[in-house]
Amino acid sequence: MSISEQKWTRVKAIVMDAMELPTRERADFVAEVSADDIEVHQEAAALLAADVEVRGNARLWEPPRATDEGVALPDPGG
Amino acid sequence: MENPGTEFAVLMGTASGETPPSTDVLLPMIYDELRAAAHRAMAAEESGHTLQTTALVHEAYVRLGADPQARWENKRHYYNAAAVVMRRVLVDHARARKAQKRGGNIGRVPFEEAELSAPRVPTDWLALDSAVLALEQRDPDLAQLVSLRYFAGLGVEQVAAALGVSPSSVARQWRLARAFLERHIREHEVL
Repeated sequence: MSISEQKWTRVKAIVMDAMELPTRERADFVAEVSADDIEVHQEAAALLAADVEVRGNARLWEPPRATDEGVALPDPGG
Repeated sequence: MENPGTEFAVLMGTASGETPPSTDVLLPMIYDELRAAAHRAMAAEESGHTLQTTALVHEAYVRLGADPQARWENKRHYYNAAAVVMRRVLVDHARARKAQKRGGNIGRVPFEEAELSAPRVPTDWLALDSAVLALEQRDPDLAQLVSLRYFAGLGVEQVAAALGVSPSSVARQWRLARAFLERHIREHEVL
């Protein structure tokens, strides 16, 4: 689905807030805060469904890990 | 390396306000960091993958050095460059393997030392690349975060420092980005 940038900004905020909630509370939350826009609601719901998939397949999405042979990257604080 | 951050700043010339060194000067100095990033990228692969870490880091090294006059203005610039190059190397390699599986022999096949008999690419770099491209169109900032996390192998704290945001913000955005990528891959996977 291609939505406007303005709507995407709203979707991002909704999804990131919803991700902080227990899974069982997310649908109600999204329905409430996006009740005025079906596109926003559908996009947010789809991303939250994907988030559940990601968590069910965490190994696949785990970022690459450093190995013993690796040399630490420079401290970003420098 | 007692204080790698300071050392890096010195290497970059940013500690003294000097002009950052050119790529041909800086690359040999950051070879170990590049190798570490390659190790992290390859850690996502299962055994049997044909692309060896040494080949990956050498190819990335060559590509980063392709423009000897290029200068990295800061850590973020360097990390982004490393992530982009690492991603391109992995994707190019995946494309070459896919072409070979189809029986084609189009163009140069990199990494001569690689065995070509492995049955599959455990990590589907092509699908991931397609999803990251879609994310770049939708939200360039999120795509940059993915590149730093996945292709440059930076941790949450490092990405936060490189992007100038809080670690908690990085964690939240990383989770959103993964959901976007997962959705895109699922919607576009060949059944």
